[in-house]
Amino acid sequence: MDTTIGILGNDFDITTQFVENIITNTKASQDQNHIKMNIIINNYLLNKNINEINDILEKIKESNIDYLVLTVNDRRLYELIEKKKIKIINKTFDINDYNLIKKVINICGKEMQE
Amino acid sequence: MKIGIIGGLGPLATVKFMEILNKLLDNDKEMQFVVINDPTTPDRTNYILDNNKPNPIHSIIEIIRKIEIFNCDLIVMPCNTASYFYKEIMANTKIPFINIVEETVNYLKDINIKKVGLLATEGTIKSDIYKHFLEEKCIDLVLPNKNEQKVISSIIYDGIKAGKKINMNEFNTIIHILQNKGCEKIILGCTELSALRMIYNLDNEVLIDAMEILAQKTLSYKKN
Repeated sequence: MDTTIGILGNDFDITTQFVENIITNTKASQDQNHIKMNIIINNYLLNKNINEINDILEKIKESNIDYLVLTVNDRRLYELIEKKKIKIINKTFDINDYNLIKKVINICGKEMQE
Repeated sequence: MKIGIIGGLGPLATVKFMEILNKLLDNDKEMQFVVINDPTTPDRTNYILDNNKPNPIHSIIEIIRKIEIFNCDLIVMPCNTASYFYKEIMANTKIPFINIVEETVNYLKDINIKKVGLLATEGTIKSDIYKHFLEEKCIDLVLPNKNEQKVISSIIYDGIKAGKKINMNEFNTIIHILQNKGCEKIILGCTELSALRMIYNLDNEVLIDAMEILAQKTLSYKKN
């Protein structure tokens, strides 16, 4: 069963770059070898109240992800995610963090592109 | 407004679609996005050429179900070949759906094109989906011949989808051949070819990028 990664962010540009980094760094000779991702980009994410954020997180859980990656640094958000018992891959986010990309690819059972 | 994107068909094309949207968004923070990227969706061309192969519609409908969880206002799908399933897609959701093929043909009609070439997968070509919409608008269609189509299919599958370098001379030769047959424009009717255009910075005015047209239509869609 393929692993599905949830990706949640508040910046379209940064989240798109991150997704592209995962795709271009995954060793895959055909589409079907790439990683399944549910990507949610909400520009007002950090302005939302706790109930609204919990609602988004519930929907993310309902979409059947195995792990979540946040493409934004926000302590409140991380705490809410942990309270929801969603498995999260990263505690902080940096678009230049190559190790995070490697971690995502490996956790999905894929190899890095040489 | 919340846009749902049926993604993973293929994954590189999906992220290039997101790039185009990002460029066109111009800081419009009202738009929200849900991209369900499932690259394990069975190959669309394989099924169209041989109905005994796995049918991608089941995976596409599962993607739609996930998009529905997020209460999206619109669904778009950056994949020309999967537009073969557009009737089933529309029958399986109440959320409005924009058809990349139909919108591309509408655009060609708006700019008064009478004769067009098509670069696409074998599946798109065999399905006659472009032919159907073009005939409705009285636009003539010119297709690559068998050998030229083999080159295009190889560029798509052995090149872009496999993450390998492309022989652009072969690609450009086919464009010239279609132009010499009187094509006023040539449709990049496969989103992997749209990705190729972006990666290799193709600036040829004869090319009409179906994925770019879809992005424009997506952002100009107004909720009723």
